Amino acid sequence: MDEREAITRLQRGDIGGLAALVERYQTKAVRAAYLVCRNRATAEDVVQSAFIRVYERIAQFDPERPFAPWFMRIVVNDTLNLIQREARHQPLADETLAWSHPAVGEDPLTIPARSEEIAVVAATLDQLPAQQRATLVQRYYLGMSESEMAQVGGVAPGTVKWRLHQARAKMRQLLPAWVGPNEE
Amino acid sequence: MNEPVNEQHITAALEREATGAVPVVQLWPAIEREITGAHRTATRRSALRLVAGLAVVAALLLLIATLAVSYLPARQPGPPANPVALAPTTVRPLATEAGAPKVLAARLVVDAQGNVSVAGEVGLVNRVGQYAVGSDYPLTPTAASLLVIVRDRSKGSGGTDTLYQVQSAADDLAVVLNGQATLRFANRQVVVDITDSSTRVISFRVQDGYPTPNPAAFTPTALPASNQLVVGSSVVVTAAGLAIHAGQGSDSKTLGMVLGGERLIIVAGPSAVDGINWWKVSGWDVAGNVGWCNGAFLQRVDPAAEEAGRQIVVGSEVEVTFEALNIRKAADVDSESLATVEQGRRLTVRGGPIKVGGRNWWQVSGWENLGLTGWCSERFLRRVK
Repeated sequence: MDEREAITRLQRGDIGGLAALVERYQTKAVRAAYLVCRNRATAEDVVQSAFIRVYERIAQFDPERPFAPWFMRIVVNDTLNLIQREARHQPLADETLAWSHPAVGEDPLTIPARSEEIAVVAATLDQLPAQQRATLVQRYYLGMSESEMAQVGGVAPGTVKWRLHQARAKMRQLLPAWVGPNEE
Repeated sequence: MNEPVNEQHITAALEREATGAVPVVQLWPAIEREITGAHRTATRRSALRLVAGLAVVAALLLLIATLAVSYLPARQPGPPANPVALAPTTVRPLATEAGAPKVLAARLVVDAQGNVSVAGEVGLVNRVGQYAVGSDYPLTPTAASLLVIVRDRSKGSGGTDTLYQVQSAADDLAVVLNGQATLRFANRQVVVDITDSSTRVISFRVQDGYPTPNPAAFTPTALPASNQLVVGSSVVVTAAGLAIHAGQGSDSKTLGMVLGGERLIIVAGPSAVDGINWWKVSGWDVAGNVGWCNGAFLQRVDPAAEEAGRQIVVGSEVEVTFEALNIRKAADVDSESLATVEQGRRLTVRGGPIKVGGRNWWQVSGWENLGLTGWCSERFLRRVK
């Protein structure tokens, strides 16, 4: 079942259409949410709720438009909203996973094989505000173009460009001088 | 000038981190359960469990109904007791944790029959710890009198209400929620033990079956001396629940019940009966009926201060009162819509007002995560802070 057929089916009330969309996008969406909120359980909850909202609001969706940018925007925005809500009560990210920590099951001896620069960039990303992380996730993890980000975000392309510039500039401030090519 | 942060580094770092932290996930079973609400994929075994559970609940309800029928006449049926002022209680962690303590509101309610219940929500708990509620309120479990209704909206749970019963004061109710959290009733407290760090919402309601709570157990909050009630005053109810009677005195027929925080208008009084000042009020039902209530639980509201509190100014936090409010590029109904926000959404007023077509427009942010601003009509905004 292709994406368009899945959406059409869902709009007719067949939740098999939703099952196909979940199958296709769930892992990418949970990973994107995780990159923003840094808590896997929260990321899964956000994505689960986002799919349920898709089910409830699919009638408003134009099947001629691509689904992924629309859906991923819901996921990223919901994650940010949750972070903001939680911030009023307590820190959300109680998990102490750091960006540069080895993944579960990864042999630490293999880590040096990974680029050290990537590890440092990852650790730096962790220090960015959630909203700037979200911008970077949309552009560099979800692979959305600047014009797509502008379209789904309801903002001018120049605004997206500026936000990306800000996020990268922030990284520049945080990165040690030896990372990346020299500016001079 | 070279870009010191290579975009490929960012992509690689994000890919690596996401893949390492989140392997392939399977959300569909939980989503399907949530949507269908009927556990369509349940196995025969779980279906049997469901039937058995329903039978237990039905038997429990039958038992409660039977006890209620035999219990109420013996406990002096008739007019409810005086409304009792109950200080709002809080949910708070029992164990000391790093960081700020979690404090969540819970609410005590006295219904028309004088039953007292405490309801609350341990919301979005994702920390290991213990959370207690009701410690300020001496719930007194007696045989078949205490019911605990629990809703655990943990991941993978559909949020179904489950009814539990405490048989006696000696019983500690211990309910395991979704395998990794426990709710128990002990020492007159409802305690929620969280033993994992998954995000969950647990809401609960504890119903004390006593038709007449013991007034001596509660200390009504003393009202300030400046609270001078007069006919025509706008007042707010300070009790968690306040009975409206047909006449002065708690023996008079109860016409209705208002919850704490509701607004009433004093139309007559006071009339002292049994040492209580009774005031005749309206505004407690939509029909505009009047009734009498205990003035100890009324707090006068200063209309001028209240009006000032409702005025939107730059910096106010406002709530959207329309189901689909357009945030526009400029203060004009013909201006481009930047977004549509749902009813109840909180926004922050950043500028304005601009008067267009006889109505005020305000510049707001908070409708979009990156702090952009847009304009919307005051008509659909209500100040909340």
